Amino acid sequence: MPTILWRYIERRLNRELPRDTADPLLGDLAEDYARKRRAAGAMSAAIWVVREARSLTRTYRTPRSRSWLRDFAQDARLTGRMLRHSPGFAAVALITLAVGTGITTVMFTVIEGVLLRPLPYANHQRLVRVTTEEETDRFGDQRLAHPDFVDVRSQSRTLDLAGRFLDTATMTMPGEPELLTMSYISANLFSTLGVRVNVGRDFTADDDRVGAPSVVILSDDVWRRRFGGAPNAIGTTLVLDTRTYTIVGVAPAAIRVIDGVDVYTPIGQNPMRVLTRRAVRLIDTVGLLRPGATLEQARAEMKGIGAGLATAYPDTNKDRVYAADRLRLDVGDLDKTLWLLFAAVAGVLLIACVNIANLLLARAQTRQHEFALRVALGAARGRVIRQCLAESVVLSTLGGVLGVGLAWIGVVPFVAAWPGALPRTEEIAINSPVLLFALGISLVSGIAFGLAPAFGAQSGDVEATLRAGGRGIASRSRRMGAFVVVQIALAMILLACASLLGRTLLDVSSRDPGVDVRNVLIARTAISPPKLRNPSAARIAWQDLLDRARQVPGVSAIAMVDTVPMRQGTNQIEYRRSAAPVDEKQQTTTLATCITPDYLKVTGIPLRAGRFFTDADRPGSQQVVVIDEVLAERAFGKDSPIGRQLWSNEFGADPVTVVGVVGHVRQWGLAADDQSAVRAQLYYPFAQLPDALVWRWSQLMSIAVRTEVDPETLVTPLRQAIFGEGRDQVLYQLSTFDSLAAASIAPQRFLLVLFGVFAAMALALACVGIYGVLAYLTRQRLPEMSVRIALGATAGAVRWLVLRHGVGLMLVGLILGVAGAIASERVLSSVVEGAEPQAVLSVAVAAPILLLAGVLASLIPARRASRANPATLLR
Amino acid sequence: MSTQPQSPLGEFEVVVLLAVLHLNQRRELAYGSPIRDEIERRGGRPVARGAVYITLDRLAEKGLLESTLSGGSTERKLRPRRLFRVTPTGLRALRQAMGLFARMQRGLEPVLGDL
Repeated sequence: MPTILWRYIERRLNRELPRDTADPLLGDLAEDYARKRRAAGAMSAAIWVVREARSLTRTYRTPRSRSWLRDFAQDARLTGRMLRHSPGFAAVALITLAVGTGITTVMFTVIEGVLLRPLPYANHQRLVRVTTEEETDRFGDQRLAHPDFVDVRSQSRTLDLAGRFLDTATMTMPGEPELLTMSYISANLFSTLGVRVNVGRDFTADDDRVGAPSVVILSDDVWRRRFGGAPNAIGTTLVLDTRTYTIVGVAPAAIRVIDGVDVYTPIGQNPMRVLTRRAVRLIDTVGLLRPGATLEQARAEMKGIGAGLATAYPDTNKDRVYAADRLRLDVGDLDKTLWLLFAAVAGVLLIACVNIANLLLARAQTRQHEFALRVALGAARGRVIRQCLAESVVLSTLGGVLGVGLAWIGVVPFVAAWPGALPRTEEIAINSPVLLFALGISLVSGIAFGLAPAFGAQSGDVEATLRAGGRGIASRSRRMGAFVVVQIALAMILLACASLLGRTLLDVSSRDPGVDVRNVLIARTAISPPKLRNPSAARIAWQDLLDRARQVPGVSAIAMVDTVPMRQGTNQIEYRRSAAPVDEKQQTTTLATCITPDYLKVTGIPLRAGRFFTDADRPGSQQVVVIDEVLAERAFGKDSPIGRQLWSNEFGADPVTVVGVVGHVRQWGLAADDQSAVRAQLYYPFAQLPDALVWRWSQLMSIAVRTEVDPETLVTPLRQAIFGEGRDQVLYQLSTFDSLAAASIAPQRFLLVLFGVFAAMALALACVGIYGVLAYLTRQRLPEMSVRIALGATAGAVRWLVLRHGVGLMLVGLILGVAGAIASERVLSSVVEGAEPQAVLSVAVAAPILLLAGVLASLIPARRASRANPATLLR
Repeated sequence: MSTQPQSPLGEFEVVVLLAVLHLNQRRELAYGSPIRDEIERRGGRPVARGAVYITLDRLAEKGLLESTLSGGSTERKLRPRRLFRVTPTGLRALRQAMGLFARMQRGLEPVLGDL
């Protein structure tokens, strides 16, 4: 036989048949071919043998697959018929499943987009972040000083390094002035990440040096917003902090993932003094593993280089260790919150599955006869089990499809409702991993709740079932009872969580922020960049800005403030009661706020003792501070603090004098403040700020404006009043005290709503479960009930009999649930600020609700049982 | 195998068993090709190769046939032959099946004619 032909046949048969079957068969074919060839010639023998091989493979393949398919089609048809015949059951099951898989899919979509998806950089698998820490201080600044960065970059053999640091700049040309976030980056940052500049060009090494022409790359957002997304923006110029830059490119939108930068410029163009100091750690450093290098090698190398730097520059680098780790998004506590919510929705889904398992189990009882009959008539038991599984899988897949539909609708509002900023929101979408997940949970849940009735169908012997007429219910009722217990326990956990969150929200929202939140507008403010460099010019510019703003009709008071209550950002300083330095471990810390004299008038913080600042507190006069009640109590106990002195390195060697005491402000937000480590507060006047700090402080300042009208209506007039002659003074990050207060408890509110919804669903599902099981068991016991009634049992006694069963199940569930509730409360309160786990309280709220709902669900079957009519049933 | 009553033989199973028995009786090698030839020759119509092999497999599985592998020739591309023999169980099953046929047709000769 020609080799090609033989190979073809050999491969074909070996693919379809097991080896020991194929071998003799191939031998036979070869032999027959030889015979055929002798008789009829090579050509017709070849045609013949190919036909033989084809027919062979067809016979061997089709029986299995076709019968499997046929079985499945038959199962699916049977399922369709079953669902059509019981539309009530179908609707309940499908809605339950759709909601269960829907919310689970929404949660997974968010988790996938935020936590699981790799960063959208082409090199994401080989990217690392290089950090540095002091050995003694694990939470210190992890960034690198620029000279250190340069050294590490030149010494490393395993990594190509790129760095960046963030700053702000006011863009004054073209168009309206606006404060932009500006990132100084190494020229190779984009190529290191694997991000391509689509419009224009990337920076080159030639851009990255002192004296090179000033160039910027715009973020996609700024390019679209301020330049209309026009390609001819490339080559034009813009003015940032009085310096003119040429636009050379537009960064792709994906880069926004780890920063929120508006413009990029090469770090090397900027001969800033801070960049020459090893004590100032500004540079976020990413590295790309070189081909062949491993993360382990990079780690070891960083350690070595760090040790070298520590020896060479002991003043700044002693005890400083260098580390490398995979580059990932820093999400803080978010991952915990997301997984917690995922656990909650998984709980709801589980309850839903259990319910359907129960429904199917109850139906399986009625169908026991049918199954037994089918087995008796020759159906394989496996076939019957498969029929059961097919039903549940078809059901759960339909439910899953509906659920994905719900998720499709629900995910966008869910993300929009998320309090605060959810990172990578633009990437959250229902995609193939999410669809796979939804398919997965549908199949798994389908199999899970299908198995129970399937084994129910299989267990026990056929003959007994056929003879007993379906009265053997003991084991099944136990199994259904166990399901109910699980449901109650899960519902209990969710209810307890909701109750904890409810209590927390009630508690935190009733707290006094310490300021009068009505009619106060807050805005970060940038004064004219050229004036920043000269402290006295900056002070005059600020004074001028406040005066202009005060003229705006509707403004009743205005003040400057650096760290705004309930907004992110605080300044923590150490303080002492004496001039002598204290050990680091015993250091006392307070929040420090820099303000102007009208701050009290704007915020309505009550003055408890002494005085607040006046215009008389100026440079050269006595250095004064005002403290809050917490600091007063902490530093001076019951003594009056007025006239007493405090020391802090932040104020230099001389002490500052306390001139007043004011009420405490919940600086960290309504929820977080009471538990935060540093609560004491200290205010100092902007007028007495040392000249050296004016530049930095001016970049951090906000204005707080008390208004006589709705603050929102003053935004535009205030903006106009503040622009200034250079049209380069801008307001940004606008908010009101009202919205800051609301935002500070938004996570609690949001989680409460979610857990409230989940708990309500769990409760409803559990009630359906209890009702279903009791209704079923009651129906089974109707003859028994009839006998009892016939023998003189009262209706009340029979009702109690059923109720007792339900209550018994619930109690077991409750006890299990309490254990779960205690555990989950602990987890929950570690993520939710202001939450204090009080399992007793939660149980006290949740248990009666569950019990009441459960009793109500049991009442209907109980009444039905008590009305059992002996006459009809015993006939 | 078990002593439990076998499920009744299918028609084609009977045919294959008889073909193997013929070859065994004639002391000829009973493997795939000759078995198929025997059926085609006596039946007077072509039989799908796959049907023969699958039936042989099934009968071997039921214990009605036993098989041994013997060495291959060049003409067979060195592939072994699978030689079949009817087992005593197979013989019993065959007897039962044939007996049933015989009993069932008794008295129907006028209708069925000479078989």
